[in-house]
Amino acid sequence: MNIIVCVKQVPDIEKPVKIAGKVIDESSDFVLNPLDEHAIQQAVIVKEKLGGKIIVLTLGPERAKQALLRCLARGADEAIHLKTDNDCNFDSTAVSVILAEKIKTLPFDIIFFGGKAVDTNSGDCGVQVAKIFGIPCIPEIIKLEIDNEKVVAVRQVDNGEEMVECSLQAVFTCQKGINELSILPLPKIMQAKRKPLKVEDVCVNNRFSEIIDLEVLPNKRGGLILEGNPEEQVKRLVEIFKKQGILRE
Amino acid sequence: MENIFVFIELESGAITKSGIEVLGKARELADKYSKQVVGLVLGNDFNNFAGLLDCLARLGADEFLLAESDKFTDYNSEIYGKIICGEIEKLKPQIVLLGSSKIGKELAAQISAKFLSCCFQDCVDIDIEGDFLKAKRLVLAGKAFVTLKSKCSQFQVATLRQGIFQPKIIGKDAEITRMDVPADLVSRIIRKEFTGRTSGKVSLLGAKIIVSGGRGMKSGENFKILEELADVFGGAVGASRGAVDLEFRVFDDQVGLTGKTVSPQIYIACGISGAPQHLAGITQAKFIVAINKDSGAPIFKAADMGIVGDLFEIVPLLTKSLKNLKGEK
Repeated sequence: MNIIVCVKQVPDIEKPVKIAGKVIDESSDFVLNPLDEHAIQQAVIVKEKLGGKIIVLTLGPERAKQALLRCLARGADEAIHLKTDNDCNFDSTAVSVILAEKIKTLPFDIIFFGGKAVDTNSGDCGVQVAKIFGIPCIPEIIKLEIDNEKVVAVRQVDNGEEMVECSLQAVFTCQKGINELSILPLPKIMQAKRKPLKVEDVCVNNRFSEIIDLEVLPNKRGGLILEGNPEEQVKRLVEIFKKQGILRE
Repeated sequence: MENIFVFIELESGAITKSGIEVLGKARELADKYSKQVVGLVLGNDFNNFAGLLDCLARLGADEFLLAESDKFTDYNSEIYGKIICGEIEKLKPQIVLLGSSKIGKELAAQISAKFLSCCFQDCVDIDIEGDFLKAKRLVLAGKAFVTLKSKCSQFQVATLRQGIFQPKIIGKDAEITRMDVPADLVSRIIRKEFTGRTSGKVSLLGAKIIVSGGRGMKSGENFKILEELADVFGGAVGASRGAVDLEFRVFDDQVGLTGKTVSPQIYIACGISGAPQHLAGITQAKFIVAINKDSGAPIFKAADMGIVGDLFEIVPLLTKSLKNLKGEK
């Protein structure tokens, strides 16, 4: 089974967001996108069952190498870093086109993505890459069973859960709950540095959108604590709801 | 005249609230910049849903395309994608708008990949500048807004967040055309089983009021008091990641970074401490109320109004007084 996992390095959203002009400040902390961690883990689970090879792929600046090393530590066999000098964070189509160009040169049966990246919050790339190749995509899966011929996956849909069967080649994007993440032991992190990691410079020529503005939301909430005993507090709250006009309907 | 193409999602034969909102916004843009709105609906057995077509006709489109086939009963990404992309190819619209449901987002990504255009997901605002779509989206875990502008003048795709845009009723009936649907629609994806949503009757996306519980709820059974409160408003019940991890609620109810991003008018957080991941999902709530025992809980800093107290006392009291108030009217 030839498996490709596409991952992304994102700002650590548990820390305050720092912005420089229209982009993320480079002095921010960056981590492997949390759902991509599940994607790589799922690739490892499939490889353990069926054998094969896992290639992990990312597009990003120099620092994105750290995300690849983490994937290698989790069990990827090889990594490819499509290195850019400029950021194309919010242009999913541009990213997908470049990823697809590279994937075209690699043998694959399955491609895994994380369900979405915490920075862009879009989840486009898995669907887009599948469309470019004309192969099925099952987004946001929470369960995957696979043998050499066919795949059964459970995905979240708007009004419930759907179990689907599909043929390979296919793209799957992973949602939380698909697997449990083990803690990475230090020896594996050390070994990762000895695994093959290829760097290829790419230029993002074809852009489909541009950033006009990026602004951090001010925290405007009042944070007012209601005084009094429970009856008084509830009475006050109901008055506020009335003012909000919620109860008129 | 340039077209704005709108895909309208149906749910159990009825037009979705999000579909009505997207049509409303499309109409507004069309009036402002003299464009035509063309809507596409995929469904099965339209004649069985009396009133649907009359209702559709006045929601803002100039023309509606109806595609009818038993293949459209359940959503299939390949079949839907094929039909929609086929129509878009024929019409060559300047702009394509969809609702930001999982289905809408998936189709939007497909369309943008097929026609190599921008893909703006879950927009809270959109406008047209020259020939180019401008969109505002919430990014970085709800901590920032990005404003993006398309660089393509055709096939520009956006999905619109639920509960933000205003529906419109227009005086003129849209022209309704039935499309020819190819008979040989096949997909490599086959639905084997479907489990409908069990807990929480009202959908979190688009709900005006959301009552959410966290670890402080102590058990799944205790969510009953939140359901009762939500029922008074016809609202939805959500949960924090903590509550979902403890299996008080299913993942589908999770609000936050890995769960759903919501934008209700009122969000009532009960027994939720307010981890950054949870707060990321509620930044677009108009008014946040926090009920928690721990006065040091971060949720109070993120809320407009807080009650430090026992939710098991406060919530039933609140339900009761709201019910009384409704009874008076």
